[in-house]
Amino acid sequence: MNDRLGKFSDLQSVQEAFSKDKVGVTERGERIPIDRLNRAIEEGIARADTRMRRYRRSRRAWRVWWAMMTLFILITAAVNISPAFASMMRAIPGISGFIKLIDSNPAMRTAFHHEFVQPVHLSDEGLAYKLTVNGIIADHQRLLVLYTLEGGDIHRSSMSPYADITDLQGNQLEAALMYSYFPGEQESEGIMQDYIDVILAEGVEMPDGIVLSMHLEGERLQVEVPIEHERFKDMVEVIQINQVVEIAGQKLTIEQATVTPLQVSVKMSSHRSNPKHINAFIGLELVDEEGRRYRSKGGFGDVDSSFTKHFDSPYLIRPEKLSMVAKGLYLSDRGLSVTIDTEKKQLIDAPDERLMLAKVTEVGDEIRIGITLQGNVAHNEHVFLELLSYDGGFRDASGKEYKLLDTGVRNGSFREGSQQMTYIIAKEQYKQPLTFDIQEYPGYVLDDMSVEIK
Amino acid sequence: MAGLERSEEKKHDHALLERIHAEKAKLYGIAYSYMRNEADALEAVQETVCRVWQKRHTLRNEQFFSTWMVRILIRVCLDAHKKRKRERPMTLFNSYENVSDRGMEERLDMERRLDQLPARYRMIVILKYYQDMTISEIAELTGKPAGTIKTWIHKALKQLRVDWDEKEGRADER
Repeated sequence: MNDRLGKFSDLQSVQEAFSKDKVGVTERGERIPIDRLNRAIEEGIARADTRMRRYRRSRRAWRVWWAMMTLFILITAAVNISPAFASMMRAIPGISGFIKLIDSNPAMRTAFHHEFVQPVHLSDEGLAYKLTVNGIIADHQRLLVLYTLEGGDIHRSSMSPYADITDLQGNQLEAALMYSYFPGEQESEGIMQDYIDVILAEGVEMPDGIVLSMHLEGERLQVEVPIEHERFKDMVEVIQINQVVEIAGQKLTIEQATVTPLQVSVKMSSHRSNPKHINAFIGLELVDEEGRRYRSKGGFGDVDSSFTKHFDSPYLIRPEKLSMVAKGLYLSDRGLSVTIDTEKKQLIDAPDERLMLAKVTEVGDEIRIGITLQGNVAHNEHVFLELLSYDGGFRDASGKEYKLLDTGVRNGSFREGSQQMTYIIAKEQYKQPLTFDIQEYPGYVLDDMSVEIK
Repeated sequence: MAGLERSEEKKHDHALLERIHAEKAKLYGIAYSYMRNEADALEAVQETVCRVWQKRHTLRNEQFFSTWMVRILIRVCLDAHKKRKRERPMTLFNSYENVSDRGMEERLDMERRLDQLPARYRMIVILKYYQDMTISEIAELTGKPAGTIKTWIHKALKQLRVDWDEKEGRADER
């Protein structure tokens, strides 16, 4: 077909084209087929009645199915679903799609078993998408937001919505946000169910409510969610520990533990006199007297200095005893560095053969240095090492100092036990070669540690 | 008591039906502008009435009924348009009954260009340039900030290969 309209050069020409087109469209639109339109209205109402009858039948079928499933599960005792869990499932519309998600997350699973969930069911709808917050699980330290996204082309694998969470006054929460990306019950196109894990920074109070904003495909959807503090206000236990432990030749002070229904936070510090740089723990977790394990989920701070580690919580289970255990530490020598000639694209000096220069490229005003690191895998764990410090610097051959670019991204990816990173520096006339101070390097020591929390 | 409640409900439904009939020309006009053929426009109205009827007890404030219903219509048109694109992406010859040949090719070109826009941009263009709505009216209807509507128009026109000056955009806001 020929393009009769040609290229539009300015607003006036497109307005003229619209006006012309509009005349024809409006003429036809105003020739309303009244009889057919009236029939469409009648048929619309009839369609609504049919759908509502079908919906009521399927709801009855669902309740029968659910009752049968509950009975089957209780009889076989294969999976532990409490009446409280079933009650929660019925109390929160749309929550059935979250079953696999709930089961994959220990905090959520425990919360549902103990009815520690706040039903919400609030939505915002745009032109193409709809966001519903189905429920939240909150305590003083952590918040889980269960949501559903609906829209014509939504599918879990095809998009990653950007979420923003503020308090009710619009202030950003000082918190880490994590998505689950776990396959939900409904994998079909047009619906996605997921949760956002919000871990507050130390000392930050859980707000009275949050505003969840989702940005996708040009639309911004917002849902305001009040947080019912009455549900958890007295559910916090602070345990002073103040114990020094030694593991793999390094000393740590275990200061205190804060225990709430969703999280245990253990505050610790490494001694300044430690001979090596602590990069991470191996196998860090909590264990109760029944042998139930509560894994570490990360934390805040620098493990070689002052830091807090987070764990799943046994609060709702109320164990008698709780210990923090580890199998060893990832360690590296202090004072290591790597020297690279970015003009010749050569690795001049490195601690050993585990560090390789992958490539050096120039992009605009930047020089991008790709590095591969091997040998950081121990006990089937992937530990991402910060080879160079996040706010680190480097020096040229004359000793002049520079900083890694703030806009530089220290990307990492795991591939067959190795780690790839890209560091970005400004494109300048450096006196080559350049020397970068290493913060963390592969290496580990196995040594069992156990500290009594309570 | 149950009889009294049913009678009240019937009165309410009757009043709602009257309101739908009062707005049907507007609904059809918007649907036709967007779908550009009678059959799809009627289907969009039918589906809109279906959803309005299903949700009729959820409307909290009667004075927003018209806006609420048009919003549902917009959603229906967007979904239908996407479905239509998936099922018959290249067929655009169903729009022009009883139209003279002169200008027909231009209209088909315009339809093809509009068809290539993302659904939400097409809708905003239709509301602004074919239904003569202001930015503020579109913002209120869609529940989006006026700035977002302007951005979408800008992007839509850009995709239609137009330079849209910000000043002209502000002058265009009524």
